Amino acid sequence: MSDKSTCLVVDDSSAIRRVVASLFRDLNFDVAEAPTGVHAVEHCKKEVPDIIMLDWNMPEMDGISCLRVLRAMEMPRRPIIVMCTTEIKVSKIQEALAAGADEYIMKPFNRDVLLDKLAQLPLG
Amino acid sequence: MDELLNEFLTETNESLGTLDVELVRFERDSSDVTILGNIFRLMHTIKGTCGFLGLPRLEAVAHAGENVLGKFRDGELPVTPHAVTLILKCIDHIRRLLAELEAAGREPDGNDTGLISEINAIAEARPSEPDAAISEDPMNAPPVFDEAGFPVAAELLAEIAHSIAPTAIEFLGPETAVEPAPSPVVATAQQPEPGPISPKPAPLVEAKESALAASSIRVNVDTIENLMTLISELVLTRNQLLQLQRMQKSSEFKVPLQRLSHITSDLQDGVTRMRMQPIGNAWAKLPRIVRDLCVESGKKIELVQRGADTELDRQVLEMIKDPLTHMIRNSADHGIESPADRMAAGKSETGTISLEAYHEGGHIFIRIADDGRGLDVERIRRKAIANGLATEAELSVMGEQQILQFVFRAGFSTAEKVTSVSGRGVGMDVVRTNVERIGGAIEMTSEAGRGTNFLIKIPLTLAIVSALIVETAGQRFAVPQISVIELVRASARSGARIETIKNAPVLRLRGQLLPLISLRGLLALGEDDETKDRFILVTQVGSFTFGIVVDRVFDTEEIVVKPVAPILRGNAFYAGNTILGDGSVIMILDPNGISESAGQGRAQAASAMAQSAASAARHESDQSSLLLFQAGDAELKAVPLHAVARIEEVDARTIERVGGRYVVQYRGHLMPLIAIDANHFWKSEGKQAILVFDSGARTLGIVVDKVVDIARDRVSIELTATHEGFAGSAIIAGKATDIVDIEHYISRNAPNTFGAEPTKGVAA
Amino acid sequence: MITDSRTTTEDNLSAFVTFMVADHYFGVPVMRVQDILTPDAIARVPLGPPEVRGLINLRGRIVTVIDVRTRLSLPTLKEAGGGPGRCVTVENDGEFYTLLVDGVGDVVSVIEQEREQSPTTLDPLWRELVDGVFRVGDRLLVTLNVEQLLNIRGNA
Repeated sequence: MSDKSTCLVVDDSSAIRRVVASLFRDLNFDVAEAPTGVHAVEHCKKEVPDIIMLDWNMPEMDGISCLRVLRAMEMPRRPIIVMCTTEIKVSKIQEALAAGADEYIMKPFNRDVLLDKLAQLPLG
Repeated sequence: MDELLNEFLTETNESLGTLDVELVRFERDSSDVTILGNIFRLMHTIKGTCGFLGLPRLEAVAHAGENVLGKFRDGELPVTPHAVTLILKCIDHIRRLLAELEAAGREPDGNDTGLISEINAIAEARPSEPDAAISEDPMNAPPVFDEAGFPVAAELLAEIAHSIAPTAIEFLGPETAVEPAPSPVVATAQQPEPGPISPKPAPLVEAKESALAASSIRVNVDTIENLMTLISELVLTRNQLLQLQRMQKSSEFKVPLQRLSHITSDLQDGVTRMRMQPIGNAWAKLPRIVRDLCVESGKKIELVQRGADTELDRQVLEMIKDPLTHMIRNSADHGIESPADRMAAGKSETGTISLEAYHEGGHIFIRIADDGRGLDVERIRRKAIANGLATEAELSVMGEQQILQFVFRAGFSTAEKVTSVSGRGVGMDVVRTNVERIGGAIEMTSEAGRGTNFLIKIPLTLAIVSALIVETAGQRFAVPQISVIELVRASARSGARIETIKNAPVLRLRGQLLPLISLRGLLALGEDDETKDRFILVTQVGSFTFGIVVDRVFDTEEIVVKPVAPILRGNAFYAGNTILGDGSVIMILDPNGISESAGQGRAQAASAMAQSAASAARHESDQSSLLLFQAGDAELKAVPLHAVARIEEVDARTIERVGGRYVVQYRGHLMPLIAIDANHFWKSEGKQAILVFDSGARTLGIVVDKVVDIARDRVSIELTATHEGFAGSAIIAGKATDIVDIEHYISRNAPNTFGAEPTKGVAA
Repeated sequence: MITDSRTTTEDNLSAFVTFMVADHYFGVPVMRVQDILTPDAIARVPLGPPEVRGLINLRGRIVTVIDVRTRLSLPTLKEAGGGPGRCVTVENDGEFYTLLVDGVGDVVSVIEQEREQSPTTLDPLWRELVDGVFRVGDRLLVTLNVEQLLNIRGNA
């Protein structure tokens, strides 16, 4: 296992997953993908990523619900969770932060915006 | 619910809003008798109305509040922050009671002795003359009851007559009031019923300034919307007439028609202007927020508002409300210094936040300024470097104001202190996005030690249209509502059927044959399964009626029409494009352009495009995924994940007990809450986790102690329903887990006495 | 404006945002570039011109996505088995467009005096779109004219 930082991208759109994953790979992360909240939870049981990019709007289990489950689960360490949202309402974003998200990032975002956000976080 | 109650709720809620504002104003200047007079009258009227309508619980609470206000007025009680906070608490409580009243149709059971004695304690705090509480002042006297227990109307009217601003509302004197005479001419859109009930208390129109009260009325929003729809149809009909008339050489219709045309245009303008609302509406809650912040932090802040009557479109107002509030909060939290710091800096103890709005050159400008500490350029510079946004070299050639603009960048959060896990706040990047989404722009300047200044510019003209959102071949489109006369579902099994006459699809509708155009074919989106249900939008353009066939119909939405880029203008089918609430871009169809092709009998395009499958990874996992939780004890319980709509967390203080059941305000209605274990202890403080289940029109929340996990393994469920409410048990990860039977709880809660949410649109 | 680039323009220096399309190395003037992003949810415009890949929502603005490959009569990224590409957003006459390219490179400064004429071997179709050619390292940078690039089907 390398000591690269790890990222888990959770989004129901495979295209988006690819894009975000590639942004992170460019930043030298090992990236895993999960198409649904359930898959994300499963993944975290096996391996806790350093950072999780969590989509807001997903079918079956929406982002915030998944966020709550992830924060409720027992994990050896606490992953950073960034909500990826098309939502721009101030109150909604505050809700996500209150539910345990470390950061939010508005979609669509580019590499610069992502870097700006990541710079805030305690990543390797 | 009866109209009387409805109006009472609307009016009283408005009064409460006004009370908030006025109370905060008064607290800052407790020598202002006019404001105090207003406040007292407002509370007094609320109390009186409650008594009049037989709402004893509300009346008691309002009475307690009114009592204290009376003492302020008589100088018997000093206006302390504590007292004001209590009155605000009283107002909040009345609001809550009103919400329950609205949901259940009657006052909730219970009493408020706790709150009332707290308020009364304040009233008694200055024990000057104990008798002074019950003064001879007629205004302060409790209502007079008759044998039946109803306040005598005449007395009440006398009280009300005193309190209402004596301008807009025509009023019948107390002498005539007692008969079942026609109610006072009240300026509402509804006609008051003459009836056995004596004249209703007149609604408080503009309690703020009597001058304004004379020139404005309150109209139900639905009424305006209906009016707008009618006007749109009128415009359409006018257009048809004009077109017909043009085809005649000369006609005696020409002149009257021109006149009709002008009037219609004016009408349209007038109604559009009705959508405009004063920006003051968005500012209404701010004084209270700032005031509460002051009390918490010990800071002194004055909020100044100018140009509150500047008008903007209702929709735009909705969208900037949140960002504005957020910015004011920031100013109060981070901008304005503590009184001590301010003094040390040679400033006045009280900081000022000013809000200003004005029209100029086709735009609305909103300025938010504070005289606080301003932004720290040095800190921003350092942060920009630390985040890798710019190098020292680059920063050295930037002006101060330029550097400050970094705060709009994604990585900058206004909260410099990143305290705990949830310490990060919403940044200015969100505000900017909100502003830009409505086509506006935001600028900022700041000076260290002097303050910070934001300027928001919003375009005045927004073409907003009601549109039906439809879907074909997986793509959504918007169709202007006014063109659509009717919606018909065509099914192979029942109802309307699509027939083919000479190879052209038609619909037989009430004896008429309607030519049909398939949107799929028109836009060459590929073939599809003919046997599926379809929806037909019966559309009218001029005198031509036809049907547009689509796969699905969603909601009607108010959309902002943005013209298509020049490069797309060649296409006659598109009237523009727009961004929906969820951020997706969709094309707006032009029925005119579409009708042209129907006329030409354009057949369905035959291009066979490969159908790309829809989406990715939803599969078996969901059917057998279980959500594991604890409720009542440490034993794990489970519920099928796909049945759970949402996992929520609410403040336990917002959970109410109504008619023996527990409920919580959720997304605009009251959601019943169920505890699975019989001995559940209902928390009254802290966070409460809830699993939300949607079952058609009903939602239900199950309170849980803790969400534990999701189990994805295929579990074998033993369907031994050992006890009611459980579907069986399963072994999950070696542990026996009870599986909750959701249907049981949902059906037990039917019929839903709390009012189902109205179902919107037509589901496919 | 782009955020991570140097935008110094001295007297005879011109700066360009560079990008790759197939094996070609192109550039557009840095002053014209508003934003560089990765395409998300492109809404198709049925029956639109083939060069218009669709529309995207860029912070509340509807921006037209121009597929540069199609504009240059090259097979699309999808056909060529490539990835999602990158978008270079430009403004023209009050409207916003974003150019879908294979990938975006650095901002490059070149000396005006070193501008070469378009080689005669250049595809005549491209001739109208090309402003100039510069030698950068061991590559040829072809700078494009934004107005001409967006001049599709007589759209001015």
